[in-house]
Amino acid sequence: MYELQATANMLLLSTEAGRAIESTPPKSTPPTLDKRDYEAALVKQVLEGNRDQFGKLYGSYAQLVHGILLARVPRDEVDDLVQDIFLHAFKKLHTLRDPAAFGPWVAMIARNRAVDFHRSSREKVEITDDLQTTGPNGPAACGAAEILEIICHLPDAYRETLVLRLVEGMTGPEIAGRTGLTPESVRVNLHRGMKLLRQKLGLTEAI
Amino acid sequence: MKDDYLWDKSGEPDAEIHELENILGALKYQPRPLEIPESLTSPRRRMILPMSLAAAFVLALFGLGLWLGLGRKQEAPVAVVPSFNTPRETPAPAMTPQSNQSDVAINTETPEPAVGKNRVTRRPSPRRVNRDTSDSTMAQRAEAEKAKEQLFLALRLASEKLNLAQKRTQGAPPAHQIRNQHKTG
Repeated sequence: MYELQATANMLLLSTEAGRAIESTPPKSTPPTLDKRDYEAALVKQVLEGNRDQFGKLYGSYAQLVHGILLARVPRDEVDDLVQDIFLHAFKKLHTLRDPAAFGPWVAMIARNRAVDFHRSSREKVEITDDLQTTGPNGPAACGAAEILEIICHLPDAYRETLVLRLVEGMTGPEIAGRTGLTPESVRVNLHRGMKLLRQKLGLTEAI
Repeated sequence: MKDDYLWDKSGEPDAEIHELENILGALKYQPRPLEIPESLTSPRRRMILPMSLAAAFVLALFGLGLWLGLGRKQEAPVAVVPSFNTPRETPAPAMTPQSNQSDVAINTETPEPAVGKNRVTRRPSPRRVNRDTSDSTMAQRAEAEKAKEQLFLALRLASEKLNLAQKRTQGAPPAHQIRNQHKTG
């Protein structure tokens, strides 16, 4: 189910990415062809029965899946969901059409799983007014959980990119390469997301 | 440029972004080993078994269709054979308005078939008809038996191939095997 949705969403994503707003052109490019080939080879080996190779794929993409989930579901659910998503990906790996696109595929499974999580669990945590806009003290006055909560209430595209950048410590080109988004889209999302976050935290934007 | 630091961590670091990174870094992913249960088999292997079963089912349906088709072919000639004895094949005597009563009587007494100048049509005797039909039925039956044997042979071959495929899926695939390639020749 998730993998079918993931495939469909990836097709939509590729058209959306083409229409992404262009700002300044990025300096870096998505992962090299060698890395894509390496991951495609890993996927093929897993499909041929070498299940140990799946551990390498897990090692490469667990951080990405963790970041995507952290931007969408409660923190205490994230670790278990990461494991679930990779087990699901292992079971459905034969449905992956392009072995080199494991990253975007598993990212889309994670997004769909997060949507499903909210659909199944009706309980929602309301953000308080205090969290929505902090005082002039800035991030130093807030804890990590509070800042994350603020990020999680930003628009979808911004929060995922910001979490991957600020929490997981990935660079823009890394985010683009692993999620399958265009570098231009990632750059725009980072810039606009950071602008919104500064406003919410009561910071003045550095120019 | 500070925008470069947000993009790829290059250039002069932005103090606020750096501070955010330090605070939020506490929530960063902590590596955990993935535990794949032993009960989970390789994805491709699990796919082959249902496919081979589906192929066997389709083959069995094909065989059944052939079998039913042959059965109908066997029945068809038997239905034609009785037409030799139908009275329609014996032509009626020629009746003209000028012919008198005696001629009519003679003609009705001897219902011989019309005899032409160049050809003579004979009514086949019942014994001969029976022998012919039995000969043709025997030939058709022999032909059907032959076809049946060929069908069984094909089914046996298909079954052997399916068994071989199933054994290969259960065992480890050979290292030199090239997948997604059709055999030629």
